[in-house]
Amino acid sequence: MDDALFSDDAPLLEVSDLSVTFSSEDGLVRAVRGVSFTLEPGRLLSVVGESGSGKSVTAMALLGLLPRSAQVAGSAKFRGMELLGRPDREMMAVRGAEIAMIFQDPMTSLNPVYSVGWQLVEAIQAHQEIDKDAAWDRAVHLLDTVGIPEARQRAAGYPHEFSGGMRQRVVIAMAMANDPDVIIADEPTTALDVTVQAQVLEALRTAQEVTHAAIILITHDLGVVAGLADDVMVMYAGKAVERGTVEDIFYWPRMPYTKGLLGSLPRLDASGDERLRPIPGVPPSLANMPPGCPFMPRCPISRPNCAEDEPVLRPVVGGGHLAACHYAEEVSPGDELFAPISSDAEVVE
Amino acid sequence: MLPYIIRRLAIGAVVLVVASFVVFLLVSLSGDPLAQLKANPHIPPAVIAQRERLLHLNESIFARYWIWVSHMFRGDFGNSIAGYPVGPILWGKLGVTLRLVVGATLLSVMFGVGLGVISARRQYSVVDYSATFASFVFFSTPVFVVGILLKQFLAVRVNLAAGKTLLYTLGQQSALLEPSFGSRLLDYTEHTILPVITLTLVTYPAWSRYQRAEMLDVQNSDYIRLARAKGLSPRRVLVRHILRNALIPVVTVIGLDTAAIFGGAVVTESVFGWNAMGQFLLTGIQQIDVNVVLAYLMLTAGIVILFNLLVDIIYGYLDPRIRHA
Amino acid sequence: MTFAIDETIPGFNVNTSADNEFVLQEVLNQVWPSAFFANGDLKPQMNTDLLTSAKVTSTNPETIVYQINPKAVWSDGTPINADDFIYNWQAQSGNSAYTDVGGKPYDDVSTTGYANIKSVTGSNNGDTVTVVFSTPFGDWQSLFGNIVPAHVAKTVGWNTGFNDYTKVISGGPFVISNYVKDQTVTETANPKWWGKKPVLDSLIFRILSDDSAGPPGMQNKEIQIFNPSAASLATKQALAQVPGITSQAPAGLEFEHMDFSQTDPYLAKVQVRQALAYAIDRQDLINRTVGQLSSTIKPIGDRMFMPTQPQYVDNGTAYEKPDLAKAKSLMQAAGMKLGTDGYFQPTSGPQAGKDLTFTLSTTSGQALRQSEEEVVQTDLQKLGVKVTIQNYTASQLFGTILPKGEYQLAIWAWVDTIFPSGNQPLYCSYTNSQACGSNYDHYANPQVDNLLNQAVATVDATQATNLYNQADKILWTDMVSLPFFQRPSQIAWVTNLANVVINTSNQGYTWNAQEWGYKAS
Ligand SMILES: Nc1ncnc2c1ncn2[C@@H]1O[C@H](COP(=O)(O)OP(=O)(O)O)[C@@H](O)[C@H]1O
Ligand SMILES: [Mg+2]
Repeated sequence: MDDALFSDDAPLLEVSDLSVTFSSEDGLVRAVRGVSFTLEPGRLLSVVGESGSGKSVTAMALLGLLPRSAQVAGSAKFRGMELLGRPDREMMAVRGAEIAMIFQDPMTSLNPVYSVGWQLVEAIQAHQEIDKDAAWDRAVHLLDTVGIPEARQRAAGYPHEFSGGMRQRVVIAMAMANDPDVIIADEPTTALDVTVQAQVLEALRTAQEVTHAAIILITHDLGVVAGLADDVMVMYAGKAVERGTVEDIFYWPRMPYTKGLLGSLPRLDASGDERLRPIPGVPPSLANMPPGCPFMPRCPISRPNCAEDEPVLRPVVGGGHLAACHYAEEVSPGDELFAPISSDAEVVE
Repeated sequence: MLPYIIRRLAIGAVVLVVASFVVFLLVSLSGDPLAQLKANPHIPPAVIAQRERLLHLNESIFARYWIWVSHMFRGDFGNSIAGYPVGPILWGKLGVTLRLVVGATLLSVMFGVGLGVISARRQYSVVDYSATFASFVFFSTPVFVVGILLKQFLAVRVNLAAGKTLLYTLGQQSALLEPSFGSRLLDYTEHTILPVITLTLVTYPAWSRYQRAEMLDVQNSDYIRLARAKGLSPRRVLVRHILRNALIPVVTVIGLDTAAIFGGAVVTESVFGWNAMGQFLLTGIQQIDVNVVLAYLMLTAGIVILFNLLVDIIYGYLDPRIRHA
Repeated sequence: MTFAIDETIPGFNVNTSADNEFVLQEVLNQVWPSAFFANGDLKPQMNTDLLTSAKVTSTNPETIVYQINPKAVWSDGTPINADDFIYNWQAQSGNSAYTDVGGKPYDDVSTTGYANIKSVTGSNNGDTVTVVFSTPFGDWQSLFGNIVPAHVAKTVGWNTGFNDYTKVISGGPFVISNYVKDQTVTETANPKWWGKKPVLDSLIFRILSDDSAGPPGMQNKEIQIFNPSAASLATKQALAQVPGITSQAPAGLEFEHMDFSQTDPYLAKVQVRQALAYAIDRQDLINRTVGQLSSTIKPIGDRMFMPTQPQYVDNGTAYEKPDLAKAKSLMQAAGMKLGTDGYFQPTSGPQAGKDLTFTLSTTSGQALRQSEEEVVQTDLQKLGVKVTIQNYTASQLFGTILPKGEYQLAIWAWVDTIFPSGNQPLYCSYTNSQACGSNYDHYANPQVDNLLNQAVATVDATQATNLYNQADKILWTDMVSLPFFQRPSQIAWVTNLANVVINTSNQGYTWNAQEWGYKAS
């Protein structure tokens, strides 16, 4: 990597107006529509949103992993270097080395035919001039770091000999392998049992401590976010609809959607009669989106103008963060915007 | 591993014995090998009686099978109706057939895997569509038609253009009077090209379709995405990850197709006037020559059994999830 | 020059039952000498290279004196002389006193004629051979064909010694110089040949069992003469596309016929057989089958000689045209009643009161014969006889069904040679079971026996021909079998190959190959 491309005073990762469009049989699918954010060194940014809101596509766009059919626009600068539109050959040097990625399903993320040690060594040697034995030692060390017991023996094992949680640790170890500055973890715990989720998040935290990397933690589970994140970006229908520090978002969400997400969260401090309050309805189709606020059909406080003007992400008057709602100022922490599920109704997912 | 191999070989041996008995019955009961002689009014009855004794036709079918089995265990394939030891003939013919089978298998692997990879890498491109079209055409064309077309449209034209015979359409070799090693090799090659292309054209399509499908499957898998996210070169991702994984099922299919290739070789040989394993089998069946048919069966079935075992072993080696105890 | 032959060669002694294949005769024509051979006119012709004369010196006892050309030698330098004649006689005499190496009985494809010989003696330094018969044999010119070198056979063995081609030393213009099993036989000029030098340097025989490979092979100049195993329209059409070749479909010595098994109570009646014969339109049958290959093929009127042979006489003029009225009256004369449904019904026997039904059999899987069956079926239905078809594989038909007489009507072919004595076992009374084993129909007529016995013993060719034809006239009257047509063979050769002469006998096309040569172009 040419160091001259980097600028020391540039932000670690600066994404502005990122948009991704796929052409499909139903027309253009606008999966990401102008997302902007900045990632500071060592911080943990959590991207939350329902399934299909464009989180993964955003992450993949940063690393240039989207299929050829994706049209990507906007800008994503890593230490001042533009990532978007960079040829594969050059992105190779960024992937894994500067920005590492962890995917959702650990069961299928590892190549079944190679031992986990081999796959780690491969990751190490992709970016470091290091002989095989040394690389193997480093692999074992990494496995040990993420909490794999008897790492030296297990390194020779194949993925199918590992449980889901263990495999995700292997992937995390792989992400740490080259001391990246950014680790993007795309729903790293979603596919796992609740009991293992905590351990995997712990491993992720360790990874951050060891590498001092900034982390983008993608999740649809706000519960995961609370204890870990520094900043939160909420996405809906391909857009960032609220952005702020974790405290801001949790204590005073300004976007009805965020509030809904929080309401659908089981609360540890909940007293007996408090029930979940999910958001009714489903996200809109991203192909041929109508004008106006995409959340409007599901929004309890929408007014007629919401159907025409799509709100932009803007500082909320009187609040410390950004939200994309015409009526953000009217959302107060106390109100319950959504109805609780009645006790005899079934949850429809 | 060893006990597994031994067990599999034992099962194979049982299959061979059962198959040999069934085929022995089928062939023996299909008629009288001396019928043509008997139909010839000039042949003295003593001669026919003598031939019957030689072929043990005066004994029961079970006794005849037992004679065959006991010889078989000593590695003796018995004699043909005409009185020749079958074994040496068989090995000679196998050598010739292998020229065709090995050549066609190698080419088919190259074409099948190669085109499959290219098609998958360039899905929905012109290359992909042409390869798909060609595969379907060759897949649905019988071997002998492919052979005949190649003769008409390739051999005759190439030879005309060259002004001499470069591609032979008949036989596995010329009658060279004083062949040197080089001229013999060249002659073999000139005779082998068309049959090999023919057998390849009917063999590779299935493999290439399979390879393409497997590639697409693997290409879109999570671990390939992770491999790319690790910063591996596209080449390494292709070779060490996509190809390596996509080849596993393809290798199985190729291995299991051995029987089909031998079957295709029988027809190909006949179309090109080769007198090798195919002609050996066909005349054996025609002449109700039990020992000949059984020798063919033993050899090809043996090869198929060995290949299946080999495929299983390779599979276990290629895919750590499968291990044979 | 490459000649495509359609069958593999088991071994090289064509005189044994194990090796006897037509194609081997073609291979050996230029190698092993014959006293007489069948020429293009389908007549026996003396081999003037081998013999200076061959004469009948007495008819009682029949005595033949052969004068061997004193220059005649085997390719190993050993003279060809009386010893060879003596050995070839003994080996094919069927006399168990003579045995092959190791005391094994001789394997012979035929002992016909040799079995009639009392003695063979040499004189004049072995150049004169005197053969004396114990029973007269008219077709004496068929003897001493493919003479096996005695001095070699006595060491390597008659039965299997010539499986090794290097033992097949030559007494002809060419010598086998190489043999790749089941692929090619290469013959080059015999350096010891005393006769006129052959024009071609070499003859290559390529074994080609798939007829469809022939035409492209000719087009690709890989073969120059092609004689497919079975004549077919497909081959004819394919050959028509090949430039620079001559392609013909001459009628062969093989004839299709329908036989009536006289073990069947109804077919045992001559009127029924005649009725069936009158009902079948043979010209129509030809038009629907082989007529497409050759327009010259006509219904056959002689079982002993084919229309292409000089001795042919049309003995079947009564059956020249189908005659349905006559056929019906013959049926009635045989005691059949015409039922209301238009089918004849026997008044007695196993099918009494039922529609008369015959089973027609032939070899399965042959389009030509299936077409023949269809025509027969239709024609006999017009007569009022039902025909069901039951076909068998060749080995079942010839191995079991025919010898055991387990059929009613059957279609197959007899292959004639130019020597008519081969007809005797087909028509002599089946009660002489051994000698007349091929009389599958169980026909018996002492008159025919008599004529055939005389014919085979008659040395004078004209007289013998007469006797054979007299016997055939009776066969027509008795309607033993209904001859259909000569099967056409097929032959194609590159037009600039000179002196190829059609020879449809079992001598094969190479009978004069020493005269073949390329025209200067
Ligand atoms: N390769 C693709 N082709 C077409 N549409 C895609 C493709 N990948 C993702 N999408 C669409 O983009 C939208 C966002 O997907 P994604 O980013 O995976 O959502 P999530 O927020 O659940 O990660 C979805 O509607 C999805 O269907
Ligand atoms: Mg996702």
